[in-house]
Amino acid sequence: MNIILAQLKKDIQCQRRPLILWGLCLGMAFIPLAFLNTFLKIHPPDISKANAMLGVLSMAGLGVACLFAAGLGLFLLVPLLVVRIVHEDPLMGTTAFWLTRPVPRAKLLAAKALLIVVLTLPLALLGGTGAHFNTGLFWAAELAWIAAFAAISSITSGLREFLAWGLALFFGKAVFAGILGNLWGQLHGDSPILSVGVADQLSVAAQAFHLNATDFFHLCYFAGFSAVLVHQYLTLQTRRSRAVLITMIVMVCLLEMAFGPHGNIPAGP
Amino acid sequence: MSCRFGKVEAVRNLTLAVLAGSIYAFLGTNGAGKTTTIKTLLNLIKPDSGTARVLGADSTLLGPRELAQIGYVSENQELPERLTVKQLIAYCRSLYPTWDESLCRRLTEKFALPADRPMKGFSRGMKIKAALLVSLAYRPQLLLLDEPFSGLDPLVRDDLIQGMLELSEQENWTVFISSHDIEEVERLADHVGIIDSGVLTLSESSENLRTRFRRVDAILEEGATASPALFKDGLLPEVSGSTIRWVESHYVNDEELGSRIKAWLPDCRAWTGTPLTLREIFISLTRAQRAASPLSL
Repeated sequence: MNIILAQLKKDIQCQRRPLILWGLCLGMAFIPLAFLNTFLKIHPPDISKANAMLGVLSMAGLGVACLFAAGLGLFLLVPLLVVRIVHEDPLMGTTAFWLTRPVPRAKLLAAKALLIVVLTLPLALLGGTGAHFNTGLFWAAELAWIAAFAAISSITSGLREFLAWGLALFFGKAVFAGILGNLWGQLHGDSPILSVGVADQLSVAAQAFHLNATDFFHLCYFAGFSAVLVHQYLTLQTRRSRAVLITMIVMVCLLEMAFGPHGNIPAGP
Repeated sequence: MSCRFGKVEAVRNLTLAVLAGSIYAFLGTNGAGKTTTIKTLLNLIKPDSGTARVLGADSTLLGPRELAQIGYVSENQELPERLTVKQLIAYCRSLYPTWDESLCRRLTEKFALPADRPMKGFSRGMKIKAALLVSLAYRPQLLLLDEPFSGLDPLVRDDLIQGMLELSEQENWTVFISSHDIEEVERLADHVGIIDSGVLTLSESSENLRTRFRRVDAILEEGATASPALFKDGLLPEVSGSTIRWVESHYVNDEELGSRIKAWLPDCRAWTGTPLTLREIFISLTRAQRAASPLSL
């Protein structure tokens, strides 16, 4: 536990500046929310009092603007922080400081994961508010993206390599899915790869967790990226981790195709 | 053990033992295989064949328990440079159960490092000092130093060597130091190994090495000649007029060498044998190895 805490402290010290920014964004997001909540409770809006109403509206507008700015800040900052936290103790090469120190890999992973979860949680809470505006679950997508950033960082040695791998995987997946979809469409039309019975079972399983198709696949990606991250931290076998990553993306692509060209899991309740 | 990177054999059939408690200087030119050997000892690289044992454990199985007893400083190591020295010390303190706070304080004072400045702005020498500080303060049983003096100014080098020498008197540690700065390690080492193009050409005590190597200058009688081929046991023979010079690698005493010279060169009028520095021995051996590889020394 001591080592996890020491590692955590070290990572926080190393990321001091972006963490201060993160804290500011967090404050900007939550203080207006809390303030508005309290203000509206103390001064419930009264339509007959036009001036008070205007005040309330302008305060609300300011709060919403702060909230969006902070949300955007966090949205951009959290992935950057995740990449920096993982790259701070590189898992590739032979020059990293921690490699020659008595730091158990599992504890290093635990410390990094803990910090990433703490940094991501507020964004998920904000996303929870945002989820009212759309039909999908924001947190499922967020989990998948954060896990993807962490996994790709763990198999790359720097920001440049991270960007190259990230873009290659993103566009590679799109091209692969497109080709696969077209091929399947030409050969079998709109029918799913899996038999209707299997697809139905998967749909029922997904619906049991109140997931629609998008959330279900996001969680599949999250599980896959997490597996890559854990594999890389525990084995330091970068080539194998990269192979696991590519295989996982292909598998989830195939799973998406398994439900037909549009991944039609019936929408959850 | 052997290590290969693609088609390049970085270390070839290396067989080497380092005595506990000794200071072993591992010398070689750039790209000779020194860093690869040290990285293999630390399980940063896996040997392609053979094994390396460190503190009794197979190097490929080194875990946190063994690493807690090993100190490592390398010119290539990436320190967490966003930390200050104070923060780095606090981080390392929690990793080592044997951390000695008073030794750490002494070293901090000796190295005169600014405690509250991020290491990003440090010079090379300061970074090496910081790395050395957090590699010594837990009193490791084994200290692996990979080119620690490379690129440092003479003052910093001297500081580091003085510090190492002082500590060596107090600590019962084993130090394995790789370098091509031979003058620097000559003051420290009690054992020397020389590696060239991945092949270990020599491994013995520095005392023995200084004893058995001599530069010999022999002067022949007027008109007498000698072929360098005569000196198959000598290194780098040079004939210049009536003077012959070579490096003798099996010197025992003047009497024995004198009788050998007399047997080879009956026309020898006079000869002198001069002791060599470690640097001269290293250069002679490496040149001889390259001139006639493989050469049994």
